[in-house]
Amino acid sequence: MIVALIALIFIFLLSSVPIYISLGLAAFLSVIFFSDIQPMLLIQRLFAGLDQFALMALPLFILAANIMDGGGLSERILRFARALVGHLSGGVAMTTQVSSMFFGALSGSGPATVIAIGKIMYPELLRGGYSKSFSSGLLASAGAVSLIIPPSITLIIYGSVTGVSVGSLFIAGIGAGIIFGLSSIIYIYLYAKKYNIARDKKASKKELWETTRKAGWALLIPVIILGGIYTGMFTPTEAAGVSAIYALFISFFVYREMTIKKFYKICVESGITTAQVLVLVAAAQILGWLLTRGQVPQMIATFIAENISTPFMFLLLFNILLLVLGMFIEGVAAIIVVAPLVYGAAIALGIDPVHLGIIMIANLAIGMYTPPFGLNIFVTQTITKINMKEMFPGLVAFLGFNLLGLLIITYVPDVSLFLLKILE
Amino acid sequence: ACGGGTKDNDDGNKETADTDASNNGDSVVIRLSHNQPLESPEHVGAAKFKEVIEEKSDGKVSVEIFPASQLGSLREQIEGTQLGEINITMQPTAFVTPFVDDVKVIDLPYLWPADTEKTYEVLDSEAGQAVLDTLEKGGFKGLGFWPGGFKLFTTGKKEIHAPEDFKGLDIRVMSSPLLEDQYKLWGANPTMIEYAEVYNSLQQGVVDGQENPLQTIYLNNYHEVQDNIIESYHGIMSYLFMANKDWFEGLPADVQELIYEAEEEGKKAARESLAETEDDYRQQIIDSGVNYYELTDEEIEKFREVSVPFHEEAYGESEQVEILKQIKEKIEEVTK
Amino acid sequence: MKIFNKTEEAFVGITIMTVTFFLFINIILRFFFSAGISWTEEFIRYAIIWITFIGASICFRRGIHVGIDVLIDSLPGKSKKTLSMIINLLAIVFMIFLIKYGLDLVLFSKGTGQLSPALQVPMFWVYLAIPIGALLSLIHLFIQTFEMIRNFRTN
Ligand code: NA
Ligand code: NA
Repeated sequence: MIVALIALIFIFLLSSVPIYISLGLAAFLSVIFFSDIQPMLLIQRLFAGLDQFALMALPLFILAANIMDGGGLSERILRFARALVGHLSGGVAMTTQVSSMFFGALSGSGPATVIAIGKIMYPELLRGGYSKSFSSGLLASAGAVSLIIPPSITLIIYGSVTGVSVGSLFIAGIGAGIIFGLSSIIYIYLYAKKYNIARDKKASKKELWETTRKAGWALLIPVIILGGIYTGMFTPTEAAGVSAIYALFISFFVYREMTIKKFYKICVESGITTAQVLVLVAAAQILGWLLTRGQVPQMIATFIAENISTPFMFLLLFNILLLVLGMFIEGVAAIIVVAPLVYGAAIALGIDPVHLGIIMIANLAIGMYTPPFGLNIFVTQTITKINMKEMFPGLVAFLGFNLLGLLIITYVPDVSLFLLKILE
Repeated sequence: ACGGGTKDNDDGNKETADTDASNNGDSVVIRLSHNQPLESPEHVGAAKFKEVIEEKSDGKVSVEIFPASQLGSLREQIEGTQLGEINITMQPTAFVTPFVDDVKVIDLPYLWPADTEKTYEVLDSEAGQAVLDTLEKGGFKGLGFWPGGFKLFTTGKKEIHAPEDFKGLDIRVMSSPLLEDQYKLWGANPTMIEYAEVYNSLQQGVVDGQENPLQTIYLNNYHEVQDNIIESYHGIMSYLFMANKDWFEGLPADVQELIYEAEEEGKKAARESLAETEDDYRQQIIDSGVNYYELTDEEIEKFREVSVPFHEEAYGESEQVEILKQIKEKIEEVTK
Repeated sequence: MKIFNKTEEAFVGITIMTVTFFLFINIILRFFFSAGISWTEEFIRYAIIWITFIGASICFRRGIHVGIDVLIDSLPGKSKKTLSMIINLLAIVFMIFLIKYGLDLVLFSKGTGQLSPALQVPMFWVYLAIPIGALLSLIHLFIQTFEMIRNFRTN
């Protein structure tokens, strides 16, 4: 059944059949004709893919981002950001990268980050002279960093499956997240130099003050989100809702760029974007479940655990396994399957359990935008509307630099662990 | 409308039993799912169950264990068992309640004696069997009560010694109306928060406290982000070890017998393993420097007084009254 | 047909508005009155599931379901149209599966009487989103396919 499933998926995807239909139809056909599984169960899995707490923030961040867009908030934030770093080489792209990392720390969701940042920054990147391909690669990869930077739902799951301290994982995630971000920033800098991306004139003090004043209300959004979450006023999902309401309030009553009609339209479009993204999540869940049920990830993981005797080789193969898995299975699902199976073997080889968790999540993050599959890629496409062929070079470039980051995270444990050691 | 629905249900289940290849011929493969990690007492018990079955049947009957919620969330695993996709599952009573309301009796606050062995004695008696039998309403065959341990309170700044200490506190509960009512009864504000979010919510003060067995507290490091860990004996976490009814009844009698036997041994292994790990976890939590204390008998009595009238209120439907009475009589008998 | 489309859009838009509203009310209640609505979380999760499957139908109408479009973009006119038609037929088959087995699950769930944990509504109401969303999608797909056939002939 698994063979039929994989074959059908490849045929469908290569024939330009939408991903939702490719995964879903392939699953139904292979289950009906090549297994004794009741097809009704696939409906249950489709549902299960969406019945997740972690996904609740996604539509609300989409809505918040759309309101910020339509209500004039994004525009003002951008002018401010440009005035601040636009004169640096690669300034606009760097703003995108850093704000993705910042936002990812809040939302904990790769797709939500891509949407929230991408909606605002993508048009600005194009206007700034960056290619569509580069900009898409930037958005998809920057969004993936959110998996590592705390608070991260994925890290909590790893902690609960293996019994490793979640507090320690969060602290370790900071160092690893920064290394990941830096590897992208280096590429941005080199790219901007090579293609001679126009730099802005350095803003005068007066211009800087003007843009800050105008953007002030909008700039409060991250303050509200961060402050609200860290003071315990609300959860990340609620933060998403609050930022939507706040943005609505400002655009209605302060900037006066919102109307009831416009707001209704924004709600409809946000709902449609939500559907466009979430059907992919749902279909991916079906696939992940069929593979798990067929014991495929388990077999691969067991093989590695049984045949590898040095930490170096283990980590190398572990990276490859997770990168491949990350292409097909969403992060949380992959951890639930793989972590319990390789945990014992890894600890026996002397690998630090916190470090192991960070490596897992770093790999899965990269998997999210490694072509041809990956949730972040498809989510990015909903914003950039360019096809895979066009997107490919940009993705691969960021992939290359992030893989260097991954190597550092993998083979220099102190990147993750030094903060922990200081705190002890 | 209700009759029509039931008919569909029956048809669905029959189809399952017929098309399940594992049921044909001589060999049987049992798909068993649970939620806990590999080192947990629950898994130790499941592994024992597998070992006993495979040994005694000379490999004719084999067990595939899917631990750590690999086959889906708790709700989905229970539904999967109804659908016949999973043969046997092990799930907390609170999660089974939306499927079969009668099992919530297990979760009533201050129903059980503050003594593990005596609680087991009641659960393993006729009274416990009466609760297991109600599972048939949901299409399940209840085989036994597997252990999760007594639940403890954990709180931030506030120490808990009496029900009124809960006044105004936000307490995280699982998605269960009964547990919600329990905290309302004591004056707290129950808040439903997803399991994966509990650590963050405690750390950031979204809620002031929560309840869980030692194992869950230790493995999720809740003691890192809470000031007080309180052995309250207010309720037990119990797993229902249950099979799809039609599947079970379609098995040859000797295989059924084997399952009963293996369940006994698995349950025993899980209970022994739990006792060991709880001692270890308790010590580690105490060593972490958190304020760890047990409620005194008088304090427990105060809680019990407030909670007992709630039992009939929460568990008052016709058949339920009888089951509750049976359990209380048995408790009286073993605690005499 | 226009009313049909408008209704779909209104459903999606108003539901997302309601979700945001409930979330906000819940924060206000908890923060100022130390009381929350305990079923908010579940309501939001299930509302999002309805948004997804009804929204997916709108995505079919607009032709914006995401795919790897390398092949179809590189084909010449006539074969491009044929491939589009085949893709639509595959989507139709998938939707029929979703309707058939979705209804099976709805009926099964109705029979077992399972309630949602917090809202205490029968679960089949939530499951219904899948067959209904698929039925709406099917209608759009049929209309599109007929238009394709008509265009195919006239050209
Ligand atoms: Na994060
Ligand atoms: Na990928």
